[in-house]
Amino acid sequence: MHQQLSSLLAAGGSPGQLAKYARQLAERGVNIRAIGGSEWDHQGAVATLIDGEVDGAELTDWLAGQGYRTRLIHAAEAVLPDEPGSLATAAERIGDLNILTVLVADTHGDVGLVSFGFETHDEADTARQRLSDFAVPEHDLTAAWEDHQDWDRRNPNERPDPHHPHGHHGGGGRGRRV
Amino acid sequence: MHRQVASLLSTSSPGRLAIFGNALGKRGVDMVTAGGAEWMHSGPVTLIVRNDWGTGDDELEAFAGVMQAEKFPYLVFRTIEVHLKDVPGALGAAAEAMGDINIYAVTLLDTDGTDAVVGLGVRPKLVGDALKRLWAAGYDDAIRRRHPNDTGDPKDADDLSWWDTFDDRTERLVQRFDRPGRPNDPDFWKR
Repeated sequence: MHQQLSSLLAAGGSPGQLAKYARQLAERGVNIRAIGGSEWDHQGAVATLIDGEVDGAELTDWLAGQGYRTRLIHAAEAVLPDEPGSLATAAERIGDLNILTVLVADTHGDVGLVSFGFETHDEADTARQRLSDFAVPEHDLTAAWEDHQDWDRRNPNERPDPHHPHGHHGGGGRGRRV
Repeated sequence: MHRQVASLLSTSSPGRLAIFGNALGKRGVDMVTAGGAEWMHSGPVTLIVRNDWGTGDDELEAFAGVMQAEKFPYLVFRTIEVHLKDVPGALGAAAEAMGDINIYAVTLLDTDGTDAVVGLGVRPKLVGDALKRLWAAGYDDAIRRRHPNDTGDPKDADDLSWWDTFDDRTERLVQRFDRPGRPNDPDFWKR
């Protein structure tokens, strides 16, 4: 199971907040796998994808102590076609569950790996069920990512086969690759 | 694919992302990437529109039309593309090099297993200064993310041949954006 963080950066009035936040994560040895966000009206929350073996609860407490209010987010991932309306289709399937975060974690050819974040593990499970054939099975991010990147290096111009057990995120068929 | 748009979604009502995505999909606007999180019922997202040259007949103009119709506030920032090693601290170091230049949006543009390409959204007026600071800090391959039709020299930080009416809009509004209490200002969803 990988983890997403949602952290509040007061970015507008104080340039440098992203640098300080990223530095804090680095000092804890946390590698940022993906990050996305923007600020509005001096509220700049960012969604950050981190490895599964990091103690997320401990990290959120520590970040809060550094001044970054942070929530641990439960993620459900989907492989979506890179075409107009696909994000809307996925969000419609998710329905009445509140999507706290959204991140495009990777793209490959004409598909993208999109990570949706939810308040609870149960909500993420429900979202995966509703996403149906778009959904990526729950997996360990680090192993899946390494498998994916290895496949990318060996097949730079090849579109991944969504039905092949090693063609997607998660070695041994634990997940899907984009 | 060379700018970053910041838009505000009020996520206290589930389904807002679907409304946002649907409205863009119906107008044929293809989003290359998206990222964001909500906090205190406010959900700003950053996204990149595929065909965003800004010529008046591309997807960026269609995007602006959707934002105006649906009353989603937005600003269009220029993207500084930085190549980083996939190790802890890499993003922090690049952001530190920017100093007091505010990063309005951040997104992962690409990763190949060894390096990551990260997009930092800055106001158009400070593109040149951001590049100079990154180059001085050793990020020699940092560039303003370029459109295929760009003709300027990517190593000329003072080049402004890319500047267009979306940049005028951002510079006009960003002064007010940096003051509190702006989220419901209609000027932020008008073209």
